[in-house]
Amino acid sequence: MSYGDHDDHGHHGSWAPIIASLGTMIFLYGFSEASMGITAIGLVVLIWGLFTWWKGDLPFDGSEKMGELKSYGTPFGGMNIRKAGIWLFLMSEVMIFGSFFGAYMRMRTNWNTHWTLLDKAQEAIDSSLAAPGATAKSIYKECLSEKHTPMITQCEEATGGLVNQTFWHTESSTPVYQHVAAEYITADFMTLLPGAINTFALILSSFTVVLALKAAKNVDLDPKVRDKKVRNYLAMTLMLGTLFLILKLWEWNHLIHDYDFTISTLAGSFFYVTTGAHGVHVFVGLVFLTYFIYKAHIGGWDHNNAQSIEYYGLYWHFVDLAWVIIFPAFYLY
Amino acid sequence: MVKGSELMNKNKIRVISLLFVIFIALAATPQMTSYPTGVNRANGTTGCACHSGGAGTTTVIVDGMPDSFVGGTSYELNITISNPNIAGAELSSNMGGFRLFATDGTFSAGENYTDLVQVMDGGITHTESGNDMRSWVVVWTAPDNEGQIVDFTVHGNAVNGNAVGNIPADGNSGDKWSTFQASIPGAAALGGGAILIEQAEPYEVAIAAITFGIALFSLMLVYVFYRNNPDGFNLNGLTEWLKKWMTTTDHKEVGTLYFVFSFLFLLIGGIFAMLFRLQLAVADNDFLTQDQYNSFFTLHGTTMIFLAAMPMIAAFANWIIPLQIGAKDLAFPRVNAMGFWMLAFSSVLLYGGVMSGEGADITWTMYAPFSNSLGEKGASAGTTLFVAGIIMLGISSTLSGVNFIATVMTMRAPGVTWMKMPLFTWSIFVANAMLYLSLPALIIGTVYLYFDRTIGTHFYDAAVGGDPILWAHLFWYFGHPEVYVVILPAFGVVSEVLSTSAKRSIFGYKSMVYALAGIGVLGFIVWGHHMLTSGMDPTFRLIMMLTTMLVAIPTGVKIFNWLATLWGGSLVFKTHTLWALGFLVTFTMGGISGMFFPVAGLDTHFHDTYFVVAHFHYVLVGGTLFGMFSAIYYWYPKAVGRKLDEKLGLLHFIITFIAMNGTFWPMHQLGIEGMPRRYHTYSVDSWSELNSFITMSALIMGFAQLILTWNIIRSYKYGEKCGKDPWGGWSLEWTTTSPPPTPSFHEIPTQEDDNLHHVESTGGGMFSRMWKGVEPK
Amino acid sequence: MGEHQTGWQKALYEKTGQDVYFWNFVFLMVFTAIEVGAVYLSLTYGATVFALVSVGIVKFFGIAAFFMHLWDDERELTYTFVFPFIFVVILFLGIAFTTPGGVAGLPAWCSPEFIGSYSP
Repeated sequence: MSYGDHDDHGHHGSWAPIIASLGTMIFLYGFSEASMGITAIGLVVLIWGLFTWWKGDLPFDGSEKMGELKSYGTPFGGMNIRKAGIWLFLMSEVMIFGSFFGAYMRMRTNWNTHWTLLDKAQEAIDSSLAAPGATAKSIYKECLSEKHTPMITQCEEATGGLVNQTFWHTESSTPVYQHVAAEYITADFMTLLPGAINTFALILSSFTVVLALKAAKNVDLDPKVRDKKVRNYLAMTLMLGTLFLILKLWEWNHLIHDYDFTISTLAGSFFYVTTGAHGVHVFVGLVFLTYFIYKAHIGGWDHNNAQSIEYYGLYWHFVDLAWVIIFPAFYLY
Repeated sequence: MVKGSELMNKNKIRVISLLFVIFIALAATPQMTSYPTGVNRANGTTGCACHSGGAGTTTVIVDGMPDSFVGGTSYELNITISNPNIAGAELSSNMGGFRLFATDGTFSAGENYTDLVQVMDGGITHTESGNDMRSWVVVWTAPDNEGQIVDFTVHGNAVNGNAVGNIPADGNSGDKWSTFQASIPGAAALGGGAILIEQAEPYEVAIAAITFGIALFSLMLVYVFYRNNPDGFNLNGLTEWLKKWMTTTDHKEVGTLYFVFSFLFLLIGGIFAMLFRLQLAVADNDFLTQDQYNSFFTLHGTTMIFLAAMPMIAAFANWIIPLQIGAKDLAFPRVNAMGFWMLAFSSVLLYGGVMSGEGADITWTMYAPFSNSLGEKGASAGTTLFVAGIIMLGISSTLSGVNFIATVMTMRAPGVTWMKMPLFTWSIFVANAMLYLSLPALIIGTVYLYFDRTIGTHFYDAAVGGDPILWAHLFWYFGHPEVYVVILPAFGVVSEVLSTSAKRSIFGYKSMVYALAGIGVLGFIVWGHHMLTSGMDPTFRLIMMLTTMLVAIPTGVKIFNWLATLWGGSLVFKTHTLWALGFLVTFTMGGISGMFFPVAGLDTHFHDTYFVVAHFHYVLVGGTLFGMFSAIYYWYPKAVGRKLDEKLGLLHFIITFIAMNGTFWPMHQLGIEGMPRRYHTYSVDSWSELNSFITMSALIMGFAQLILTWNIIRSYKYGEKCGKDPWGGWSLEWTTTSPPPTPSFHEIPTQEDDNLHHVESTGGGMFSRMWKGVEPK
Repeated sequence: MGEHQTGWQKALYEKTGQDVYFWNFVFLMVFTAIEVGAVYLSLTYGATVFALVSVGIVKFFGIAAFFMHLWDDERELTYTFVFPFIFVVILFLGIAFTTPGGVAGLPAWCSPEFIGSYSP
């Protein structure tokens, strides 16, 4: 997000925007037409665009001539504009994950189905199928007495079979109610383990980014030692992020093959798309990280331009933050 | 400079024309009538031999005639006669008769009409018992020779029935007959130049129009390049020049790209609109098939919102925001360029389906569960690409959103404090903040939809517990802020234009800012009014009703502030002023019709009728588009250094204003009568007249935009040259040269207090000064 | 950043030899363990949700305040970060926590019985 050269002698163009956009289009076109080849080409072009972008940023030394502009006026007076920019960008990320959770909670709160449940309970009472003396509310409570999901058998008893026939089952006898991922994951500790390790890995990787930043900002260190330290901490972050993705894919594989938990159900759709979207954020972070590591390798970071690592860190911490919420919401409960 | 008296005359002409326009538009539009019977084809002079009643006012209609016949095929023809003056007999049932001849082919009776019609003398006519009615069905079997043209003649007689009771003397008196003639070519006779216009494949028309547009656009590019430097023209220079545009990160150049792109798509969206207006011109029309109609109005909506309105707003935001706040450029120029290119490439995805004849047909609202269904009953194949395009648009708007918000928050020059910031900047800031915070809901919603269509998830599939209403929620959580996103910048433009044209600072600046911010916040808690009929929580419905009505308050504050600005000022009638005044009229009407919808009871009636279409076209065309036109005339001199032609501008305004009202005002009535939107045709004949009127007005409005196109192209080289500040504006963009240098300011400027800039307005009330055409010093 | 921290953070560094980032890291690890443990304690439904939500909030705070150093930065950045949560709450209230008024009265395509055909 650097600013380019801003002297009065002309404007530096960049091929990066048009290449990256073209790549995005090819990627989406390939995905739409279910063509792996075109999708891969699109991804390559997109990443090529990003690297074109970063190539222009490699000599960035933190000076105003190289684009580090200061903000003035309220509210961000005196701050680097890029810092304000990354926080503003995180606003959008908050809304992204907020939308994911809003949709997911709509399913989990079950308001849609619970209303039908009350409806069916009343119907059972009206047609004398329910036990004498039962009210719609008592049947409703009975149906929901289990920890995770309404138990079909209990509802069947309470409503004289009405719920089972018409509500929980479609004509093809597929259970309508969707079992959520947490039921399978928490049932067996070995299934939970990858998720738990992932949580630790992400928190640890957040910590290593902080250590890299501290090393880069440390003026007391010998430049050679400093460069090595920065590179190693960032490489550690890259490894932890990669571990995260591998474990996640392993765990998906496990859920799909051993528990038959796939995107063919609503809960499965939510689980895979939400955790997948988080995984994409991690992947994007890792792509960015390769540039940071390369620049550390050639000794490009010092206390003047280390704020770039800080801004990358803000993004990376946010990904961690999202995981901190996703983990209990999708894996534990 | 023009002398005072000439100016007075000019202003007087403008005032009179403006009043004339408003008078005509308001007085004529709702009362326009057409033929009482719809399409009245012909009244003839030679009639039936059996009746001696005179030729007269009877109407004969033959339905079901093909445009061209195929040899050996049978066509069912529906013959109807009517005469408003002859009600038919009270006692008997003698009501009318007909006789139909054709130069070739054979006739037979239609189903259920075997006793009522008979073949006679190479034609067909009614039987004795068949004269008790005024409508018959016959079958015409076409001859095998397709190379000929068959002429039809039908005589129809409206009988008053006074011959009943054996009073021969009265027999034929008072009966009125007339004749209808038609020629139908055989399929083979259509070769050469005889192709009927209805037979042109609408997809081909659309693609041809778009291709033509792109070709024209490319030619224009080369021409513009040539005119830039006629002496040094060579094609190597062209690639350099194109490279400059493709890699540019300068806010002004990206703004120009945005503008050209949006203008191109404004015209393309207009072509779509004109095509389906032709389809809707008369009842039971078959110019477009259902599928074509569906994808055309889908692309019209999406194009106009995402590829025309928002990019045009982005164009002015790009151009003007850094100039107004005194910044050298935007905060993140490369991100800005990427926002544009994402938009440009997304249009390829959006239109990808149309080129293969499988355009998306899911409306711009993309409602599940239709949009996520595949196969026979689902949305067409192009929908997947379309949804991918929408995701890309989301990325584009997020990138440009973060840029504008960051620029306004961090790069304001000294003196441009929050409460002295020009209102256009304020409106762009609020609009982008809204867009930025609401877009994620759309992106997530479309990602769900995209996966439903590609990898087979089941978010919106009710069969496995999915939830179609979730889509409506996510879409409208974005969608309602979105409509404010496209209208707020127009508010900003009108504030700038009116205060400059009235030669005074805007009335109630602070209340304007609070109103903008108020709309910004309220806009997020009103989305439920789009879903009042979807079966929401009744409590939620009530909340949404109340909050929606609340939005009228800040909007009303703005309208009254604009009026008060005019009241104390001394108005100069430039073209941009006319557009701003037109905006005031039409936007207010659109706003008022909008206040019917939050009332859940009324909304149940109006939901999905043309009343809704009328409302949002009044605010989007009469609001956003008029505002943007005003901006074009207002800031064109700043961008180019030459003014747009005022005479052409006046012509453009008058035609567009009348035609716009003619197009959308009658839709209110159609909506109240219950004409549903999004249907490819209708069978209620009484709607035909208003619809044909709408279609004519829409065509006029569409072609009037060519005036603007010509004006923009012509004035680029031949317009009147202007200095820094042609209109007497006060904000910082007028302190730099026209066109501005790169970077836009060499020294960061300081903004003065706007109130110091303006001279006192001359005496007299607004209307008296408008009438006298007084120009303040 | 780390060098010029004041107050309790400095005291923490002097006392333990480790700065606030390290302790934040340890703290997050511990709370994750608590989180996982809570699920296996066979608590009641309500207690599990309460435990998960409260631990989630604590961990959220730990990351936002210290790793993202909102604690030390300008207040404006905190406001920037918190601002969209207003809209997240609106979204939750509108989308997640409202009940469809009469499910029985909804069109067929919106009921669980829907099996994928639109014929009216």
